Amino acid sequence: MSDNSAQAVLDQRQLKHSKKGIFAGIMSGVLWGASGTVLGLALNFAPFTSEAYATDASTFNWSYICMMVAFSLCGALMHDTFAAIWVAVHNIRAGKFKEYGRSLRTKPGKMVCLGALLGGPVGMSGYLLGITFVSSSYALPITASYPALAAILATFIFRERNPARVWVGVVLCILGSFLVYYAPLGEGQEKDIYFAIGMILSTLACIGWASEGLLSTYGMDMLDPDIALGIREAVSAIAYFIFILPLVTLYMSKFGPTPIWELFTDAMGTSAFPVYAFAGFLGGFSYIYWYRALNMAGVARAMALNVTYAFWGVLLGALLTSLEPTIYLFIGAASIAFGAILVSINPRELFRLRDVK
Amino acid sequence: MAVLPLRFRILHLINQAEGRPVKANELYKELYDEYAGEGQFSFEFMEDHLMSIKAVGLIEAVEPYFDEFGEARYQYVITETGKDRTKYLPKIL
Repeated sequence: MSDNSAQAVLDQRQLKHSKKGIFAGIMSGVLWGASGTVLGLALNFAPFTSEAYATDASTFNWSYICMMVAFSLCGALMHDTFAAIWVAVHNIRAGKFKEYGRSLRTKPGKMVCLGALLGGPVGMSGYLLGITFVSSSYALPITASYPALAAILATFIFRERNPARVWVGVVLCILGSFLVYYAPLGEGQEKDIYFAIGMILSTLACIGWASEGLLSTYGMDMLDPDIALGIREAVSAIAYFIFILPLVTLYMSKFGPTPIWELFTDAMGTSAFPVYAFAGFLGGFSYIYWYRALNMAGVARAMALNVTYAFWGVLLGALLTSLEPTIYLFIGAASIAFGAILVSINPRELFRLRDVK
Repeated sequence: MAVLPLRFRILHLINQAEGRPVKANELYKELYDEYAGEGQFSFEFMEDHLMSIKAVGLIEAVEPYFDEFGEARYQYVITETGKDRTKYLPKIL
């Protein structure tokens, strides 16, 4: 058989590999949308509904903000801890446990650790604060504009060549985010100061996740993406335990009670616990698919596919929560999702997933 | 005993060939003593790593051929970007 026929067989195999990357990107979006919705639902369970943690939200006051910060960081800690455990179980089952130590001893492994600090304490905190203040259906679309920033950064750092179509998609993502922000709310909802705070904090997640994606991808070029993710979730959970929660508790106590640890210990024995375990499962596997897509499909394309969670989040929010989404919210989320798809699909590039000059 | 993560070790071996195309079978034999016995180590899994490393531009696939079992395979050479990333290898190697 000739080299040409071998080439044809290998092209088919490469196409299959590329399609797996695209599939992983889509799955990461669906699972992240589901995870965000479940995280929002967790706030409806004890201990978050307990009288002991109730505060007045009718006027602007620091006690309410402190309590919301406590809810959010407790949620972020539990989400990332459970995600770290689920991913570790997945890696051990796949016979990759020894890769943790080997990877951590390399510089790429340390880059993943740095990415974890940006994606966890910065990105995840902003995201959970957004969910707590404005609900997952609003926070998810806003955080979804992070590929716009990532695509710009990837152009300079990885020398990715993005065609005009990618940039049109990025612009659509940004416009969709603005539509979500400025659109009128549904009946019975109002845009108070907490809505603005929630939206601003949601944008913090964009910065954290865009930076994380780039750093982690650079490191993952030389590491197994599942291991990189295991390190990411574990580092994030440890950072929350050792640094973030003690420091935030100390700082916020100047303004009002911020009972993060009490919430965490109370949550252990209540109905919120399995809900967070489930959210961590969805979030962990969303990340597994996301990291695979980043590695198999390139930064901008993988992030764009992941960002379809904006649409899935609104859809699942409408189906599973009491939210009554407006047409503007749907259009905004759909615009982000469509922009993301436009960024991702270019059949001519399926064989070359990351253009390197 | 293996020191490097499997994917990084694959890149390391291809770099050591200094531009000579390396067959997947050769890599597998080289890696066998270090990683055999680990659940993650299989020919298919190693090929997945190769395709991912290729997709991100660290190696290039050249000279396709059919191996002794009639399977289509590539040979691999390191790219300039790949060579650059080997600066992150531990100094002991």
